[in-house]
Amino acid sequence: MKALSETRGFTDQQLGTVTGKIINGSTLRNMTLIKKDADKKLETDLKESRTISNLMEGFPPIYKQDPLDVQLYFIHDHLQSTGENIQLEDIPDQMYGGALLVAKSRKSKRKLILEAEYLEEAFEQPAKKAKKAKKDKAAEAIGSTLSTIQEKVQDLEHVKVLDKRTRSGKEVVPSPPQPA
Amino acid sequence: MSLEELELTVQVESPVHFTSLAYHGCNTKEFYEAQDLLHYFDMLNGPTYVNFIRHLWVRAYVYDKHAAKLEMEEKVLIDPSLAGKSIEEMGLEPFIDTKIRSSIMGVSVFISQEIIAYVIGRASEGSFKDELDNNKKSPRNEIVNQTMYNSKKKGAYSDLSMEKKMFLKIQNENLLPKGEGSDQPSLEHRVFLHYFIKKEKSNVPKYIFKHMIKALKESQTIKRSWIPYGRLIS
Repeated sequence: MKALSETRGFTDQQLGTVTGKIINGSTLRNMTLIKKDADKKLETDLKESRTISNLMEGFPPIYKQDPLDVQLYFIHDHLQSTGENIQLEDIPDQMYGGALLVAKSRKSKRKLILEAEYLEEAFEQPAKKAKKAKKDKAAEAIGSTLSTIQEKVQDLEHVKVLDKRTRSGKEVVPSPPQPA
Repeated sequence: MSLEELELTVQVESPVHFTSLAYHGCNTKEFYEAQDLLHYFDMLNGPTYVNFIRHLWVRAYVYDKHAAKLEMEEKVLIDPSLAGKSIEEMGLEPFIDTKIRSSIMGVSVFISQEIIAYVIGRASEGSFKDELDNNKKSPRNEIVNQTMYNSKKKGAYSDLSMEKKMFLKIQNENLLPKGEGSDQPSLEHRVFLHYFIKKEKSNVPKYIFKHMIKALKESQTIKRSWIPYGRLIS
C-alpha cells in the first residue's frame, strides 16, 4: 500500500475503495432486537463517511472539474512545499478524500459486473462509452479499408484478373483474357 | 484460478460501535476485550480496496509443505543434477511455515498467521479446534449448545438471547465470515463462539488464517467467487 501511495497513480475509484457498514443501535433495530422507536442516534456514533483513504496522503484538494489554472496553481504549490511533482493526468475525476462508498451487506444479491465497468478508466457510462468507441473504430476501419480497396481497384488494369481461391485453398492461376 | 477478477465478490468487514450497542442494552465490548481484539475492531473502520484484493486473490496460492515439495520436484525435473540437494542449494526459499503467496503488479506479497497476528495486534496463542465437521454425535455439541442455547440440544436462532445474536452477527461479519447463506452456525462456528462467550482465549489469528486458506481453496476448486476479510487484506 505504501508503494502504491508513492506512485500517486491510483485513485479510489480505480481501486474500488469502500468502507464497511457499521454495526450499531440501528443494526439492533434492523435485527428486530429492539423496538423501532428505541433506536437513538448518539453524537458519538461512528459514521462511514468519516473513513478516509490512506492511499494518497497529502494530495491537494483538486479534481479534474476544477479550472486548469487552479489545478496548475495547486500543482505548483505542492511542488514547492513537498518537492513532489504531480502530473495533470494524475488528478482524479472526483474530489479526492470525499465520502467513501459503503460496502453492500453480505446477503445482498450480487450484481454481475460488465468487463467495461471493471476497467479502471470506465467511470461514467462505461458500457455506452465502450460501445461508442467500438463503433467509431469499426467505422474508421471500414472507411479506411474501403478507400484502400477503391484505390487498388483504380490501379488495376483491365487485362489483369483477380486471383481466385478454390475450396481446398489452392490458388488458381489467373486465366488469360479470352480474345473476343 | 479459473475465476476472473470481475467475477469475484469481496466481503468487507463491518466496524462495530460498541458504545452505541451498550447504550441500546447490548453490551458486548468486554468479551472482545478479553480476546485482545479491540485494536482489530478499531482497524476495521478504514478503507477496503476491492479491485486491489481481487487482483491479489486470482494470483494467490497456498504455499505449504506439499507445495514446497512439488516446487523442489519441478526443479529436479528441469535440472536432474539438483537431485538430493537441499532447498537452499536449489535456489528456492526454505519452507518455514504455511503462507498464502501472491503478487500485486509484479511485487510479491504473502500472508501468514504471524502477519495476521501482527496486523490485528494480538499474539497467536489460545485454544484452537480444527477440522470439526458437523458431526451430531460429537461430544462438543453438548458443551457448545449449553453455552449458546442453555440446553444440551441444538436450538433455533430465535432461542438465542440478544447478546448471543449479536455475537453471531459480529462473528459472521468480521471473525469467521460466512458470505452468502443462512445464519445457522456450523459446529466450528459454535465452538469459536463458545470461547468468546466463556471468555476463554482462542487463537483468533490461526482461525482467521485457516478460514482464509479454506476460502482460497474453495475459489480454486469449486469456483466460489467470494473473498473474505476485505479490510484485513487491505
